[in-house]
Order: sequence, then C-alpha cells, then structure tokens
Amino acid sequence: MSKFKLILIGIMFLLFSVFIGIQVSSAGTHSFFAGFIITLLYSLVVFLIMTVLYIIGAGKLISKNKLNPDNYQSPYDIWLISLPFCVLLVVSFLWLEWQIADVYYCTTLAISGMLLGNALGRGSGKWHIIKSLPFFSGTIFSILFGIIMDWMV
Amino acid sequence: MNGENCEILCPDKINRIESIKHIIFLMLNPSSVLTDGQVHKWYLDLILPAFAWMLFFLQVGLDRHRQSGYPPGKIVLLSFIGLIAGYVVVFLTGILMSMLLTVFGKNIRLQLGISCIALSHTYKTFSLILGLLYNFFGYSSSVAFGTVGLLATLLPVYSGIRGLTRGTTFLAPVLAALIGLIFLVFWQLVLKIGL
Repeated sequence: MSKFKLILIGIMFLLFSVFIGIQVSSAGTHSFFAGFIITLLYSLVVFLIMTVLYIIGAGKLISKNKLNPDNYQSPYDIWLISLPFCVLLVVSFLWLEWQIADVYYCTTLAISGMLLGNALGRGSGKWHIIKSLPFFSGTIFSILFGIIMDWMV
Repeated sequence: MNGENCEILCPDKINRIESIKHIIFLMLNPSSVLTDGQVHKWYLDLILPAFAWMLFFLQVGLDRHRQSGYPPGKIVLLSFIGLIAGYVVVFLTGILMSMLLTVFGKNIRLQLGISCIALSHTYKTFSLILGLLYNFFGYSSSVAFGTVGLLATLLPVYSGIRGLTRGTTFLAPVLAALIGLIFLVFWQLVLKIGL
C-alpha cells in the first residue's frame, strides 16, 4: 500500500513537472526539458527533506511523550493532498488554458508543509521548533520555487 | 448586581465571549466541525463563503475594468451574483459531501457538512482580501489569488474527511478533488452565464 501511495505521489510530481515544463517552453525563455527536469529534481529534494524532517520530528516528539504514537500519521497520506491539487491543475490547464502551474505547485508545497506540521501538533500545546519545521520548510521551498520560476519564465 | 459586577460575572456576556471564541476557533480550524459533531447555525456559516465569492468576482470585475473598460454597474452585478451563487453552491456542495460520506459509511449530519465547507472558506477570504489589496496597486489578481484561495479551501475539507475516515486513505483526496472541481466549474459558469 505504501509503495502504491509513493508511486501515486511520484506521478503527481511528474505531472506538475510536465505542466511547468510546458508553461516554461510556451513562454519561450527556456526549453520544456529545462522546466521539467528542474521541477522534477526540486520536487525530489523537497519531498525527501520535508518527509525526513517530519519523521525525525515525530520520532523525537514520541520519545519525549509529546506525541501519542496512536496519532502518528503516515507522511504519504499527508502528501496525497497533491492529488486533488493536481486534478485541478490538469483541468484548469487543459480546459481553461490557465498557465499557472507554478501557483498550483507552490501552494501544494506550502499546504503539505502545513499539514505535516499540524500532524506533529503544531498550534497545540507549547510551541516547539520541531513541530513547526515542516511548515517553515514548506513555506520556504514554496517561495524559493517562485524565485526559480521567475528566472525560468 | 450593579453594572461593574456584571462586567465580570454576567453569564450572558461570558456566554457571548465564549461563543465568539468558539466561532473564531472553528473558522481557523474548520475540520473540527466534522470531528466534534456539534451542530451550528449553518445558514449563518454560509455568509463566509458568500462573502469570499463576492470578493472574488469583485476582483474579476476590477481586472476586466482595467483591461477593457468593464462598466462599474456590471462589476457590482457580478459581485452580487457571486454573493448569492456562493451561498447556494457551497450549501449544495455541503449536502453532497455529507451524502457521499454517508454512502461511504460515515454517517454525518447534513448541517455539519455544510458548516465544514462553509467555514473552510476562511483561508480563501484571507487570500482574496490580500488579492484585493494587490488589485488596488494595479495588478490583475483574480486568477492567482482565487486559485490559491480555492486550494486553501480544500485543506480543511481534506483534513476533516481524513480525520473521519481513518483507514480509507483515498476517500479524502478523491472527495477533495471532487469538491474542488465543483467550485472550479461554478467559477466558470458564473463567468460564462453572468455577463
């Protein structure tokens, strides 16, 4: 099941990369492959960093009894929020011809970070950097990609 | 009991403060509507999405006005259509979500589904208020801020359904996608039909 979820998340990031590649190439500044490869590699790095931060954070919080192990959520389940976002991206790109794949992608990163943070108990109890790290990283990666996109288009 | 004591002890006042606190908590954490099971005045909750969609169509009108001299009367009319249609569509979507959850074995009251989707529009409202500020500086803001707002609306819906349906991994993303699609189609219908 976990493998299937991971494959599904991979397909979502692949789709984001394809549409960002198309957007970049239609702007005429860079080729499709530049946009595609940069987004795909970026997604891989972001996914790894945020997931590892979440797993390490959850482990530390559980060991300190600040997170109930029964409340631990699989990071793959959380990343599956990219599925509805990707569906909307495809529909709006193909049907409405909106070239705003970067808006969808950046929002996905930021919101996934928020969900990962919430799953660690962000916003409840005493503030702790571990709880907020996935949220901060999601926001930072989202802004960073906005800058990269600005350079690409 | 004199007025000064009532400032501190009056039960009516305490109740009012508590209910305002509760409403603010629910607006910031709408997914808890589904999990705590408390029934709300859903018809009042629907004012929030109506306001959010009105703000959105106001920005569409302002963008069109800047690009092609769209008349101010039509901007007001478009915003009004957004207000009414936002109320109705979010109401219907809430009913649909509750019914679908019932089909998948999670029996929740219709009012809870409506309140959850309605209060999920808090983030959209924030996004569109920012978009309006951006619009005042002369930039087209409706599509970008509308899209971010739409996606942010799905976040509490997704969390709420996931909290309700532990063990059925794919129900939350599929229902969230469906609700997002309904809003996207609604957005386009208003623009196509309404002027």
